Amino acid sequence: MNQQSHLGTNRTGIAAALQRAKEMQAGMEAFPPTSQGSAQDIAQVRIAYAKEAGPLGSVPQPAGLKNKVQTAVKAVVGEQPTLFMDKLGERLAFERSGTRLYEALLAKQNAFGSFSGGPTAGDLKHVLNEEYNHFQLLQSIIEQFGGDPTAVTPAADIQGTMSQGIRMVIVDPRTTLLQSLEAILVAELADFTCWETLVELAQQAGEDDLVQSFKQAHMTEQEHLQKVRTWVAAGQGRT
Amino acid sequence: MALNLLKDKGVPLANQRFTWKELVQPPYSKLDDDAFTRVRVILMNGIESEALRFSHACARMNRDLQLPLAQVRRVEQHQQTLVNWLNPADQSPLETTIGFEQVAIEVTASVAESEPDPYLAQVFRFGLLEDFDHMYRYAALMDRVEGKDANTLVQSYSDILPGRPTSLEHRDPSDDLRTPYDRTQAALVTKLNAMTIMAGEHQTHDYYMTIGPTFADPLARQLYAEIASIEEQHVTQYESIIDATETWLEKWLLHEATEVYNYYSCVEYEQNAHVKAIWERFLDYELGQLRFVADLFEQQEKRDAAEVLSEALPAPIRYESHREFVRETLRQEVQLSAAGASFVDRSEETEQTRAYRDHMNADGSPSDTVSAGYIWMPGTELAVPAHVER
Repeated sequence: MNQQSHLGTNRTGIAAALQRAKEMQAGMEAFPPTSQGSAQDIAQVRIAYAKEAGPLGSVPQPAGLKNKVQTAVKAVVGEQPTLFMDKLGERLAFERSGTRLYEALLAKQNAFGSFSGGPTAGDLKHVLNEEYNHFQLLQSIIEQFGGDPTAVTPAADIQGTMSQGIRMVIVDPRTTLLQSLEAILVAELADFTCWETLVELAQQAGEDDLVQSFKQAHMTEQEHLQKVRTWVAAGQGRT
Repeated sequence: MALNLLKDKGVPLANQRFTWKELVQPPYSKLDDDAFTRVRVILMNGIESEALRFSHACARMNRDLQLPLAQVRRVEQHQQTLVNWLNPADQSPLETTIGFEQVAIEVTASVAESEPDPYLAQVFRFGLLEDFDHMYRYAALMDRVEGKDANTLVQSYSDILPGRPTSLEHRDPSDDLRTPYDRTQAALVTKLNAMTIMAGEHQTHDYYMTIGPTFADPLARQLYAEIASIEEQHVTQYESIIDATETWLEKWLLHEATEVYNYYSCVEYEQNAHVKAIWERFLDYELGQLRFVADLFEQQEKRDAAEVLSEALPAPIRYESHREFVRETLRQEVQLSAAGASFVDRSEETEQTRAYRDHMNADGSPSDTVSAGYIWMPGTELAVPAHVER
């Protein structure tokens, strides 16, 4: 499959049906809106609901509230004591889903082959394994802190919602390898930034061992990001 | 709470009203609320959906009832909106699907245990093992495509294990029709059970038909196509256990009684105070609708509503884990299939069912493929390195 979209009968733009578009526009004056205001009125409904809404959910209580947790959370997060556990849960969920995303990318590479400057199956497997290792690392760290790595924290829930679109693009049999890599690029950008966040949170908590582990993971994510950027650029014919 | 189906008046129909703001309430929390809150919301959406479906069918065949049907139906439709919109937006269609199958497992199990007619109890257990298997297949999909653990929704109330394999559930239509209860002999609880489960399965079918094409993954699309087909079989089965000689008004009366019964069951078990208040409000609404329909029934059919309803409601549906009951049913009955209205060992299936199934599975089985070698693990398969191929 060609990595570039081809020219064809795309009907979505107004230029695809100029006469019909003119007919529509001719109706505007004769049939004005039935309610006054603008798109900004939507904000009032959103504001009203936001003021009444409760949170998405909570972070589960770490088992036994071990000292490590108390120290870490107090040092790190002041008035938001659960931020650290929330973010660990978020990253774990992301790496776990990311492993499945790279499995889907492998299938796509298998189906279509790669392109000049694009990833080999070995390249994708390498990243997949490193994402999986990150998942295992986070699992272990959450357990050390007395947390439950199977729980969905609010931040994990949010990132799950955000990631749905990325997954839809990659698993769709109609998208090219390049399009799928463009989608995973969004995931890698987020991943890189979020590991940075974990490094800084661990630094503020004075958790030196964690800082080292997180910095290593952050460096690995930087490599992933660079690789994906390079593949995408090659696929788009950019040097 | 002691209700009297024949005497309680509830809220008069004219006072059953909403604003748009009332219809769109804060949803329950996918993370913090008990799984059975989600189960009840899903089931009650199905109960109201059935109310509308029946009401429209009745209207098409009874010109003189069209106005009272439309009046009651308007309220039911708004009730359905309020209930269904309690589902939160961060709960994806696949996550909601897990909720749907948990409804099918736990509510059908409760009904199967309470059903006094042994043949009908067997019908419910038969369907139970099939829906139980659907949960397992969808959980595998969620794990392997999305990297998520279905148990975060199930909350360990229900097992995630293979049941009667979905790939073997496909039957010829002639093997999905069962023997109905006799409306003059059956206990009220039998009629309420049949209506409840039929409603649940019909909405499940419709839900899978709606969301199936929203999945981009081809195996997900195939799995929803396969399981939606089974749900259609289930609707056929459960519809067939209801006496087709019940009059339209009798059926309408039983629908309202089913709604009263289900909201009552929800009230008895609900832990979320906000949601419980909704169940209580709607229980009162349904009592008002029941009164309205009972009066119509008595005027038009010159029969006492007490012929169809009893004063007391049966014990509520039990919103709790039925793990041991389900496992025992699995041990004893997983090998069953159906031949006509009877349940038989798989070796005695009809030729038409075998031929139909072989044809449907000729290009492969989505449910077998998605869950090949799948064992549910807390935190997904990926949490256990030994189960991961790299």
